[in-house]
Amino acid sequence: MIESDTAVKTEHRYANWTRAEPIALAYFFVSIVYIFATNFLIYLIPVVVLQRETLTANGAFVGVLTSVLIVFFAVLALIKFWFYQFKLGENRIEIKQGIFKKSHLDLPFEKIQNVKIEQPLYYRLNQYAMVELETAGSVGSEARIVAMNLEEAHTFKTQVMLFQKEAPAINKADTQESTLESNKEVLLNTRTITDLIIHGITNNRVWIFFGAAAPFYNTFVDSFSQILTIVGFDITQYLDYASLSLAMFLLHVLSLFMFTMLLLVAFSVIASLFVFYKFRLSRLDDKYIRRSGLINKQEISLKKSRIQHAVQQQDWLDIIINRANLKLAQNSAGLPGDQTSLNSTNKLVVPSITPRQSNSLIEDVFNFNGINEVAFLPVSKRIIMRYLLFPILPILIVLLAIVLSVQATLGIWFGYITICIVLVSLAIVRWYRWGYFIKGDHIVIRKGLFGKDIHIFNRHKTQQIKLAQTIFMRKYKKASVRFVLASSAHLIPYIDDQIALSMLDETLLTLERDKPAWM
Amino acid sequence: MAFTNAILSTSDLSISSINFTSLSQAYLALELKICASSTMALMLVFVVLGFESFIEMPEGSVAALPWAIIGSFVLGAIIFLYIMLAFPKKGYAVREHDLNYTSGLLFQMHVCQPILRIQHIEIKRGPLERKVGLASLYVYSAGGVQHTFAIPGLAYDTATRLRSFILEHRDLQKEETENDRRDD
Repeated sequence: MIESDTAVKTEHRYANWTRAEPIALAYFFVSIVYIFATNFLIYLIPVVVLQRETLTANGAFVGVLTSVLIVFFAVLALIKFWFYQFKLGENRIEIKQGIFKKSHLDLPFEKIQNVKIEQPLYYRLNQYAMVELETAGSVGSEARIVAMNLEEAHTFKTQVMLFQKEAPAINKADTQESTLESNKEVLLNTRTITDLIIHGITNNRVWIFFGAAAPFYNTFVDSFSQILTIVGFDITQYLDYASLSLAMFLLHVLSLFMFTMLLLVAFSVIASLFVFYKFRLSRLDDKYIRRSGLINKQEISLKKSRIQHAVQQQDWLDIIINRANLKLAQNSAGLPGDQTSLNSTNKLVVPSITPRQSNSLIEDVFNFNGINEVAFLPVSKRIIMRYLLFPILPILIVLLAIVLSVQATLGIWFGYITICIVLVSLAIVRWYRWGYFIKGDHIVIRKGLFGKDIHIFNRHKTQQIKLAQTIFMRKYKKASVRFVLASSAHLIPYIDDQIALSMLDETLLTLERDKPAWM
Repeated sequence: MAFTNAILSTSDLSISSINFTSLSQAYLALELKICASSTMALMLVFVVLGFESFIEMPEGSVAALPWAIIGSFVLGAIIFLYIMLAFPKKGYAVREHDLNYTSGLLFQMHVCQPILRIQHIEIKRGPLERKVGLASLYVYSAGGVQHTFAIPGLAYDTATRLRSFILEHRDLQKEETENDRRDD
């Protein structure tokens, strides 16, 4: 248990109300500046761009204003730091913070769902870390120890995790597993740089980059065209297509497009390296732990029993090169923050693995063999009809109206018919991708269009079930079932209504009779 | 504790054999009244716009006003008719271990909420609902707010009785004593 020296020291050291390490000043300062920049400064960008001359003329004033602001922020950071105190008890943590709006958080360890250790760049010099505590119902409440010695942070984490293990096991499967406690971390997966480059190419991770760079778009575009002018490339002349033949124009558009794509892919690869550098997925007893990151190192752990569903995602490029992303998702209701972010703790992403690796990870998590060899059952072809009625028919009608309103040449009609054929074949492909498979407690659903997603979940974790049937579907005895899990809802559309009904009844029966836990 | 549901035959366990209780007639009346009065209000706005001279009307819009009045009447009538026809399709049922709600004229939906998975319950009453003694029951699971199980148009005392039935249900009692993961 917690018998190591550091643990005892930790308890002793934080047993009374303590302020965070002085490095936390940097944290408070950065967060204040960040809030200021994202809530206020970005709206000033147009002003800055328009009034550039006025600003440069009054350089001294701008300088003074900036330094006054910086001093103000520093003082604010100091006050925030002063009012931030925390206390570690044997089984709970208390945090007091706030200047005007004071808050006192009292969090028992057993309610902590996740402990996330983060190291922003400026913490890495002295081996400090920030500890974020997540609970199931914490909506927007800030539970974080802003600065702690890295070693202490890890000890603290172990302490909380140990506490969770002592809490009564609620799942039968869990109890069995925890009797086999080994306390040894098993490495499940690592990613090499090559894997990450592949990941960057196949997955558009550009938005991570662009999301972070959003305040600087204008500057970027400005300086980009400046650079081009310097190297003797006049973009306006380049795009002055009145003086070019159509073929030349198309060629230019194509080359510009290729150039942009290349740039995007490069950014995407960089972003992928930033997030997943030195990726390690390991298992410690019933917890999955992901560690990665180039500048901001991240550690996310996820308790096995809390995983609600897994999804193996492949887009068309992934299918060609035989790679897939695996996401393990946990309870997402009521969790604050950006749910789509790669860094969010409610999902654990394993980037660009081979289907074989995916098979073995899913087997480890779900006890399900061969996710990529499943013989899926198709859904009814009537779903194609449904896609044709909506959204394809409205699109085609609108397009037809446009075609009729202009003096349509043969070429335009040809184009229109091509669009019709493409849309109809998309509907057929979409139907072809749908598939479902049920075996015991497991439900596996395949869907997609160009890409292919395979979802797997245990149906005993269902929160709510919905059965839907339109009057057209009733005529052909088809129905759609939706399993609502704590992570997301999973739809199986257009299957025989008897199958849907028995699926639903069976799930309800096991759920209500055996009362299995979902967390 | 023995599981009493087990002695029933499977066909009785199926949700297809549920007899739904329809919603309160007062709810239908309220919905129809709201529809009729808002349609009338909209038509009145157009009529007033046609006769007043305070606001400068854009060119040609006066000619469109009769059509707007007719349009809003037709739309109101369609919604009125839809409410009338859809009402008999709405219903709820409480079984030993789950709550059920069905609705939909063209798109029929059956939602089943096992009581075991309920996180918390809320009774909501708007000012109009209060006036006619109605209430809506909202049941939240960990499935998230967008999958809230809701039964509208219940008589207030039915709603409170339902709430206490759910709160006293042994599946939820069990969770309390296990004290594993409540967050409130």
